[in-house]
Amino acid sequence: MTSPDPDATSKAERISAWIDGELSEDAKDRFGEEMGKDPSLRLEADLTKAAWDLLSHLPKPEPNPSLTQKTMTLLQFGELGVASNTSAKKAGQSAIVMIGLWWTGLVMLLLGSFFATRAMTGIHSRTTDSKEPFFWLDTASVRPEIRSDTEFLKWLAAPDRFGSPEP
Amino acid sequence: MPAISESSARLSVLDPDVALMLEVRDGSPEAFARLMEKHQARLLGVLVNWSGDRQEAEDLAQEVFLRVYQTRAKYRATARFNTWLYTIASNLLRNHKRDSRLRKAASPLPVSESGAIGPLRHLSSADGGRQESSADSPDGEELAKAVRNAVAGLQERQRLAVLLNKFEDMSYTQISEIMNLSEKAVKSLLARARANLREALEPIISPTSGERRAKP
Repeated sequence: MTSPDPDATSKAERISAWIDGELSEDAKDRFGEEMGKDPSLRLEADLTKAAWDLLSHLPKPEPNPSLTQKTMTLLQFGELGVASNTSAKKAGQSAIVMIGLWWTGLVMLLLGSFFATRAMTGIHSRTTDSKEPFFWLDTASVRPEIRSDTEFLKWLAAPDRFGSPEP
Repeated sequence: MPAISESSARLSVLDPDVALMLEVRDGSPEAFARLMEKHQARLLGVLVNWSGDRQEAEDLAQEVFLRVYQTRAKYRATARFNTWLYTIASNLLRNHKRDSRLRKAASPLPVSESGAIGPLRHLSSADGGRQESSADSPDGEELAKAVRNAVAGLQERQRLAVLLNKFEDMSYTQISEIMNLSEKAVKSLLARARANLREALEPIISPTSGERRAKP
């Protein structure tokens, strides 16, 4: 990309400022003198101004007569919408807080009831000591060689275990 | 109700729209409606010529006014009202163009039958006959089309600067505030825009120049 010629840029900017009336009085006089001496500058300035003046052919559309009304209606709805949204948000937040409080209360009540009942009735959770025998009979202390209930029953059923039957 | 400073009061005298906008800031919908009535034609002129689509320009104009109202609390009377109005418009156009680019990246640009290029492709058909045409004769229509195409061919920032200068008669200082540029940058922007316009419209303003160039 080539950089623009500084002289050309400066000239174009001066022509542009001259058209816009943005040159100071001194600068305007100097530019006028320069154009008098330099016909090519005069031509360039005139062509640029002529092109600029053609912009008066750009469309100047008439706005839709209902634009103001439509915008005002939108604004009214917008304001109401903002208001109702805010109210709805606040109401929603309150409802969530209330539901949260209700649930917390209910859970606390249930937990309280559970522990109170437990304390009063003495119900404990079942121990995991499932190896504890149903009957308290230490078979090992009777006969150490007996290792199972079946062996113990066989030992009990021995014919002379409790003496011989009476004749 | 916010107090009006001395400088605001002075500006209100110089620019009656500042006083109206201060009323809008204080919650007067009537003042807002009056501001809209006063500025909508020129704003629409800038937007139609910037976008090239009448419907799009109307939507943008409405959006600009909605934003003026929505941001009324932030308004400070430190400049003319139209500087505030077009600053909002300029920001909106920047965002709008970015969004349009994203949309266009997804779909190819349709070629119009009128031959209009760029953003002015819809102007000749979609203005709904509501625009004040500067072209009464067929020649006038051709000329108007050439001018529209020349403006459409400008870079977006150049186009906006040109339209603000032409439609709102804005100074370099005002344009620089609106477009968030230095005055020097605006000066350069307008100079390049004018050079481009001259080049595009040369066959009309100087019909012999094209022939002169063609001949060795």
